[in-house]
Amino acid sequence: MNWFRQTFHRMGSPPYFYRGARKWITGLYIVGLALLVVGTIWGIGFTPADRLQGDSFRIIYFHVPTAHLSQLIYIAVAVAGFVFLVWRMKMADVFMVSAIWLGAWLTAFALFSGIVWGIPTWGTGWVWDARTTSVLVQLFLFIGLIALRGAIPNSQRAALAVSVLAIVGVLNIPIIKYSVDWFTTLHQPASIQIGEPIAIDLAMLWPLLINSLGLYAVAAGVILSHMRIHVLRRERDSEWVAKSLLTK
Amino acid sequence: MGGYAVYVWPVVGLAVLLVIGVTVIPSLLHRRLIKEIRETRDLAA
Amino acid sequence: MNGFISSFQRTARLTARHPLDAAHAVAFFIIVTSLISVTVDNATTSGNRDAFVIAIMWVVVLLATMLGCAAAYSQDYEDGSLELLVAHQRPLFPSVLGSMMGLWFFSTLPILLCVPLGAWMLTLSTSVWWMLLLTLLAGSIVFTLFGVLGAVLTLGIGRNGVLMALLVLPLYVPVLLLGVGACQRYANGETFEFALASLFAIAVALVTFVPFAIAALLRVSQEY
Repeated sequence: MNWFRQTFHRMGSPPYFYRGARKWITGLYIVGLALLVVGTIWGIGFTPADRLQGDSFRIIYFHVPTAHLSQLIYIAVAVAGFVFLVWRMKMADVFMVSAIWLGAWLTAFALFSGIVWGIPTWGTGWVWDARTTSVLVQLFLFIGLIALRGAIPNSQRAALAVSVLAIVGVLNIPIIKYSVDWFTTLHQPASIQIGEPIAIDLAMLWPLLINSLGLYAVAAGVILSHMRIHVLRRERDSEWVAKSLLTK
Repeated sequence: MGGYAVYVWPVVGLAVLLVIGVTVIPSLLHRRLIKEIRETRDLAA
Repeated sequence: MNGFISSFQRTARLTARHPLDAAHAVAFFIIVTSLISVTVDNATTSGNRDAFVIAIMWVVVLLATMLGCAAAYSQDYEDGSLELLVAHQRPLFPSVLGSMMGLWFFSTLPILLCVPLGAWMLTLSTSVWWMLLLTLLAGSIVFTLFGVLGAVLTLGIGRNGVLMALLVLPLYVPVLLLGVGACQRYANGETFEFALASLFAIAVALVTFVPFAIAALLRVSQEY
């Protein structure tokens, strides 16, 4: 546990983070992009077409990883908000600012790819069911977090407000999922079953796994590089910034 | 390629744009910020 | 004509300085439209006219309640009595709960009293009236809680009305769905008890939870 505590405290120190994150970002980008290229080519070119959905099922290889990751990022933002409220840790705030932008883009992309997938499969781009509504609300929550962050000039207060909103919002995600699930299963059972993944063949599953891992790695790299920018901007007048910029 | 392939390409195109965007923009911002700090703090090496 | 052009350019410059403010109004439009779509969707499957009316009434009450909360604590914030409150009330929770219930009693309850008038104007079947009022009773408490939360989040920011709506409206969605669902199911003659029970359960849970968040934010608003 000792090394963990040490790393935890070191990551909380801006100069250590700024120097240490650089190698990680390069590594994550290389691994992630390689995985994404492999997964995409495999998914588009080498998996058999679905018997019912034809080729349009291949959208799943992009839709599922982004949808999953965007929800994970929302939960991570709320956890960081909790950490910030309890320990007032600066890096938690830096993480939140960096992650909400990526989360908003990923959610928007998940919605877009879902709509495109729905047109040939459902016959309509949009259905007001559990999945779609909860993802749309998640996009609104991300946009709200960005707007709130931008509107409050005092950064400490902005961070606290964003933390509280993120935590209150995360309670909403399961409520939304289950409440609408419950309604649609009693109300219109047909429409929600379509959204459920049909038993997937292993040959179709591999590219999905590879793309998910690749996207996770790239997203971690993106968040880390945004965090580096925020750390640098915050500490621009400090001694270590001057040193590290001079020695380069 | 079977049917409906036409629906896959806009998603793939946008995915590629998204990945390029989110990876390239931070590094551009970072470079600009370093340049700005060097100028304002008179650190030109 | 000169005056027209220069004023137009001035507005353009002002918008460019705060581009997000213009985007907030657009976001408001999109969010309210999706609230209506979510609630009306159940009605289109059943084809019951009452279900439509219930959905519309709920969304209208939601917006009216939210507007009533927009000014919460802003007077106290400006004249400094909030500072006194935060400094002297050690557990802030009862005070927050008290002022929220006061707000609900004096600004939300009048809206509920007008609901029968609205139901009459929209010719809702009279058998559904009491159910609409009962679900709105729980719903309006939650709307007030989150409305005050939104008002406190945007405390001290000028022009905060639309921003507050942007933050609060997504939070309203689950309660809106449960409440409208319970009422619509009652109107359609289906089982509604579970939805009604969960609506009230969520309302009680939020009454105990949200005031803590608001108290924390009020403290912070005085610290920084």
